[in-house]
Amino acid sequence: MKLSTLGVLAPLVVVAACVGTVGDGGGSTGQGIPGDPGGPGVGGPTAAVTGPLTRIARLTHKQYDNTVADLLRYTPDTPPSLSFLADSSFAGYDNNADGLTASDVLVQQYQQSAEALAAGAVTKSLAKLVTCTPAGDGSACAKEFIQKFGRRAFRRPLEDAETAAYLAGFTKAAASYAGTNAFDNGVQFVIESMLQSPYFLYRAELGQTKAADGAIPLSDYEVASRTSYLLWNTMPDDSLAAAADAGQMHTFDQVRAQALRLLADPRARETIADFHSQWLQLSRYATNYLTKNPATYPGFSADTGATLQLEATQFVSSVVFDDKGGFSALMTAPYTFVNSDTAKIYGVQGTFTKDLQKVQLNPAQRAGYLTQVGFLASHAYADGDSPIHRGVFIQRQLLCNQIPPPPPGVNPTIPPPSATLKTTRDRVAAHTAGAPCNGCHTSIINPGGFAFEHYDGIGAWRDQDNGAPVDAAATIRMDGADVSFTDAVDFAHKLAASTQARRCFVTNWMRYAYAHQEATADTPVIDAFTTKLADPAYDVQSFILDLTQTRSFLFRPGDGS
Amino acid sequence: MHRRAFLRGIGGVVLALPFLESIEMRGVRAGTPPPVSKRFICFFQCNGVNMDKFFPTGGFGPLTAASFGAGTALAPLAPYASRLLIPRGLHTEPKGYMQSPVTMGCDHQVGMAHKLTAQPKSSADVTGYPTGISVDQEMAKSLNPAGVSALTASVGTQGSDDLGIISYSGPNAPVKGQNNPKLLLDSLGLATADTKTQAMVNARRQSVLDLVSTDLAALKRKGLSAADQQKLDMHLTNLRAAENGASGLSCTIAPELASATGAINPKTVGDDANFKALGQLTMDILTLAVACNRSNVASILWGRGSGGPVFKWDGMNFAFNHHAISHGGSGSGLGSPIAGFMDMLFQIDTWHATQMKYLLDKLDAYKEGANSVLDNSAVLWINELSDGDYHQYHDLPVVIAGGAGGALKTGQYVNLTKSAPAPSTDSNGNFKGNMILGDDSAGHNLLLTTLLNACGAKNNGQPYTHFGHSSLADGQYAQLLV
Repeated sequence: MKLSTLGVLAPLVVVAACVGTVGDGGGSTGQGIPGDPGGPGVGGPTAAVTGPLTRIARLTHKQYDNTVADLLRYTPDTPPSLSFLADSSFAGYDNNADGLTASDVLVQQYQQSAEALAAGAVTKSLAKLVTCTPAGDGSACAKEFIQKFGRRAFRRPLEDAETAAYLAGFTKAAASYAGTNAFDNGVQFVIESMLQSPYFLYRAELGQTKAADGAIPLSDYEVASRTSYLLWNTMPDDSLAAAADAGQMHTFDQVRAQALRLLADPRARETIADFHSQWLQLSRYATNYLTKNPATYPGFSADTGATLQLEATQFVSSVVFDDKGGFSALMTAPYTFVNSDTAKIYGVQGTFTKDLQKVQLNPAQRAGYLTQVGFLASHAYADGDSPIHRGVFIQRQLLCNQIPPPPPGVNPTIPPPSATLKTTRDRVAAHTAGAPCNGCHTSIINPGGFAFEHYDGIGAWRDQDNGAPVDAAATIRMDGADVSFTDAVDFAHKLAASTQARRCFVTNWMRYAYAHQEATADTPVIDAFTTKLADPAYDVQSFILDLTQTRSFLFRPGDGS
Repeated sequence: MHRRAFLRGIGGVVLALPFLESIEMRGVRAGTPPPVSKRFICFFQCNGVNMDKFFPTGGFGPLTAASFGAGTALAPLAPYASRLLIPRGLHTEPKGYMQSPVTMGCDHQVGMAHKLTAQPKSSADVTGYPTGISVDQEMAKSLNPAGVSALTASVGTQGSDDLGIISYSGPNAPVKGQNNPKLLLDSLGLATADTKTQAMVNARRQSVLDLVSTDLAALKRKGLSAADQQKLDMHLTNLRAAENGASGLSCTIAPELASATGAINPKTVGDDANFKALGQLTMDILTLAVACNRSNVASILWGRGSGGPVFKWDGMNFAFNHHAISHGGSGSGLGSPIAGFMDMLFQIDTWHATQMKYLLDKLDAYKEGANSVLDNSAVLWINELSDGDYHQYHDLPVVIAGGAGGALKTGQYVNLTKSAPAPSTDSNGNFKGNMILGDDSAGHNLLLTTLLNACGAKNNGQPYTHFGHSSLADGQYAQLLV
């Protein structure tokens, strides 16, 4: 399967070369004439169509929670997925379509959730869901309900046979519940059943008619779902559904107009936060991962990690939506959000509460996400900073290089401070100078970590380390060249200008947005986005909008199904 | 309210249940006792152990009370001396990072991912998973009712990657452990409602199943790939199992257990503060599950590889989490070791042994004829690593309890290699224990095969001759079997 090709580098080879590029995930290629999307799209009219192997992608837990709240028109007291077995991530993201399956445990939890949600709907939102008044035997209103609710639950109109089957179930359901209202019992039964139907739990893409180039155009309904789940992580709203019903969700322009509308809504912020949380691995800030030695860092408490997660999320949201910033702004914006605890770590003067508040930071000391306390503290030891952890993160998440683990048998003990090895940098450099460590450390891992030597184990600024002046200047291999910088702020600006870093950002977004590992055939599209993002005026919102403007978004591969 | 608890299981015996008040058989005809099931339970510890003070005191051979002196973290298990089997010298297969051409990923990943699968990961990434099924899920194919997979539970925070998973239903198919005991209990499908309501619920579930099966069948006909059709088949099988579980007569839940699990806040199940209490509740439920034959195969994963809680209970009050302490010898960033780290590890290991004893006590309290559920089980306590600081994959700390229905040669401490333990010291001069390092004669994959056969699992009707990656050796450890 596609996932199995992720780690194609044999470890023994990797050490010599050290860096491999995260590579080919396979996938099918379409060629030649586009279908009828009304334009070339990003990557051009002959760009290959790629996608997950599966045509039935199970809803992620987050999507399930959002979808049932919208579908049932009430918000459960706790998100249903809190009762679900957690999903694993594949290729770095929890929405990877080929990784999402329904285990026996999960199917049972879906059952229990459907029962609870259907009961809740009957008491909390019945009037919103049933818009007719039952007359006679109630079957006309029952049918109307089934068609209207089914349209939303299955994200497409019901076929006649489906309507008939659910109507038969409705009619027989009078004695299925303790309640005595036969019509309400029928409604509850239909909701309970549809919430367990594969057409609700999976996003099915079922078209089979091939366009001239062999790719298969998605139906208007399928495109509406893709658009909605990409931008809101939930089912299409009424307006999007109406566009699909009217057959107006298959050209680039039609999709763009809807995507613009969705992006302008606050709900888009949650999705953008979700992507960044996975890309930047904000789960590493969780309490269980982020413990500091209270003797060394008394200001860092058990709650600090949660504050730092919130800070990173607000920062991303502010840059992307409030500032309309680009990739460069994420890397360099000299502000953040602090509360009374974290203000002290940043050394920001003023009066603060437990709530986060936007503050400007000293632009000579801080620039963008990588100089925030969250990243710096989570890539550090309990009682000191760790250039190696920081440097490896830069390689893997910012530059998309594969870094192998250290070879076996190496001495993991970084030498203690001494008269000749005063600073952390000195000690790490001495420890990793010899073979086989130097192959990966000297020009690849360490420089990206040394950039952050002005920040201690919790990300506070320091000019001196163990009594010696901090040296944060280094030269790193990036964009196929040796790039020198003076400190983290300078490095952040160089990353912001780096083609490789932009390309890595694009690649990660595509993994998330298209729910699969990229393929070699995606290269032209990745290249096109990477070029576009070089323009500072091309903000992240424009980029996300354009993720809907590719052939891979409107089509699915014609092969392999 | 139900004051009695009922069981219709595969095992056909009256069980004495301390926690459940009692369980009686219903619908079992006199004179036709069904065969007693064998069970397999995995108790998984992470981050290695203090290798100097883990194994039995004294030499190899029969285990006696004297084998469990003050010098071993296994001391709490002394009462079970005659029912333990402690194999020595096992190494992880496929071997550690860079020690095998098929191995992918760092030693923590390998330690977690290979342990129950004996399969390499599909990629070095933390979200690349092993390329084959794990022994618990394989065992479930023989030991469980059709369609019921092995029960998987975990304690604390697991994350969403390979460091928090031990069970796999196939290649690249991780099975997460349930870390919320309330949901674990719910998943057993044990009845709590009164009979009339339950009958109504069961009838309704059957109707839902009929309707949803129609949708599944229709979707399958839409020109889907073989893999997608398989996915839907699995969904349908699982749906039927859920329905059967609900309608099937089974053990009911004692009020204490219902109230203990009912009080759980789902938002704090990962918190360190709940680690012990929820871990013990999880063991109560696993025991219930195997005693009731709801699943005869189960696992409990304590914490997470390269992670784990900050132990601050039962006399421990540490500043660092389990992983940090495991690296205490090489320092925590300052270059200086964590003072007393070896003793901290000893305390943590002893704590795990105490939890192991808790589990054995529970299993032993369920009687099946002349024996107990423990006697009919193989309980495997295994670890991600041996020496945590050096990520050692040799000389794994392994303890097996229960006789698997008389199949295992218990009461023995057995060296599976031809080497003898030899002193090992880290680069800071800390003595780390006597270990069997560099001896590749005792792959742990053969232990997995041995356990499959001891528990009576069959591979197409035959005993297993191999488990794990195709490059690994065939065979088993006959010296562990009666």
